[in-house]
Amino acid sequence: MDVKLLELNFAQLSRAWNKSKFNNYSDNRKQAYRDRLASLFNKLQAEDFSNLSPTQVKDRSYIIDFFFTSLQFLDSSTLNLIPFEIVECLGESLKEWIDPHQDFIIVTSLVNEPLGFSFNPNLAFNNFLYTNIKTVYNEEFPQRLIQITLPRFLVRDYLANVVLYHELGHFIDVKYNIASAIHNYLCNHYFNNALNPQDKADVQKYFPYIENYRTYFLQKQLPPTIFYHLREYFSDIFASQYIGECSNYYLDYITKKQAQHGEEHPSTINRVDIVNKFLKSDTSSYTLNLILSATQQITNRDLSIRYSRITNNEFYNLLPCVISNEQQLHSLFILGWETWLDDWNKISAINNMQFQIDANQVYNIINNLIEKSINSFIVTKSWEKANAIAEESN
Amino acid sequence: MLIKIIKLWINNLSLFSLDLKGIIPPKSTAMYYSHTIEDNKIGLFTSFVKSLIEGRQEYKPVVNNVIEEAHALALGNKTLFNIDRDSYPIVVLLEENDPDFFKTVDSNKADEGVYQKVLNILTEQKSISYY
Repeated sequence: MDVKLLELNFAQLSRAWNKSKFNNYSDNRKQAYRDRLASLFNKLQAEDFSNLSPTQVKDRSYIIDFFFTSLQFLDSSTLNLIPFEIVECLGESLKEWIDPHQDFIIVTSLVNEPLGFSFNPNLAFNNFLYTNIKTVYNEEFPQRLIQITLPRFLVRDYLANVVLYHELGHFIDVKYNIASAIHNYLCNHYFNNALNPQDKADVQKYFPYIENYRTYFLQKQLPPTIFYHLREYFSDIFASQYIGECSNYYLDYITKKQAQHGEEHPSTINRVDIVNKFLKSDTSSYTLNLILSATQQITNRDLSIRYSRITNNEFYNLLPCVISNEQQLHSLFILGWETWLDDWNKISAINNMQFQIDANQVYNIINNLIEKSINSFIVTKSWEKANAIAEESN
Repeated sequence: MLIKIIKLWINNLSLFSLDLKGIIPPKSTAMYYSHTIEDNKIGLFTSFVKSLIEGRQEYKPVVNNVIEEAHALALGNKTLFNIDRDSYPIVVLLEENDPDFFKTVDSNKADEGVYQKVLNILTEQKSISYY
């Protein structure tokens, strides 16, 4: 790689850093991360790139990529921009799937794409990045950024944001390489005729094109479609642990109940079907059982129902719900969707309203009440934690 | 009273009056997008192997660890479900390209010939292997 291009890249970074280095963050850990970036920047700046070998130039370009990605998300996570409530819910789910000693900071980036939901695992789970930075500049980043991207105008839409649980599923999949491992195992067994007819039929149901791929398998040129579809099935099941079938409602609508599969996505019918089987604890599917058992072996964690229902739906009384624990926190989204899909006249009737409530009003009420419920949970938890610390010190 | 409260909530708290039908594109191609990091990992690891061949010994532990995992996978001492998760795509790529080589390789005695062989596999590979 040309040294001049590295210098161009660093000049671009310098300009970006000049704008970002004075950002204020809501927590000290982000501030500390920013300070480490400052130190890394000084080391990049002090180096004479002209004497570097092509491999060393490449190493530096990876570091600049890392720096840019960090800035992209830190810039959107300043005091007044971070959507605390959804981050809190996702953070609770995340805790169940990572080791307690791992120190992650969830940061967000708001984008203009209407369906621009995603998690970027690159800074969280790519240890080679940190080995590179440590080896080249002797800098360490004990905290890792988990980057969530969400559409700017849906940031407080808690009905649409159930999609983020699916994205968290992709994130966990990437951390553990679950779909990759299942893919290799499944293809080996299927194409080597190691499955009984019933299991084979089940695989053909979820991957209806698989038989056409036999020649590609023998030539070791298997296209990625099965792998991509496994990623989606895994992430759908992962999400449903926390939000039941809510993700299906949204998916069903935006894909128009798509019966055909695409290269990257299975048919909506199959996606909804596998989630429903999981939620009903239907053990008849070989594919579903393989996903469950592989996930357990790889992560030492079970895919299981991880929400508990809130018994009193206060939303009809226009009140936030009292949340007792993290499992109930996730079920707020289920409650929100159930209220949205229910007869809105109930809200008018229960509250003696003299008018028909319309969609925009219900939309705002539900989102407002979910947000207030989450907020109240956060405040109560922080209060209890502070009390416990105070009692210990007494 | 209630109407006022609701109006207040709506005025204070709604960011946008959103018509979902208006913002949904005809296809779901943007939804459920997930960034992949396999290319990034393979690119960085390739760079480490090149650096090691160029004489920078500080990359030896990280490169040898990956070779050791590929060796364990080739011998069947480890499976797809319990090899190191961070280096998974590289380990699988190496082992699948030459299982016989990785059955016999000893990472403790790896020399430039071994690293060159690893580098050849990494640089010959045009895209990530899906089997």
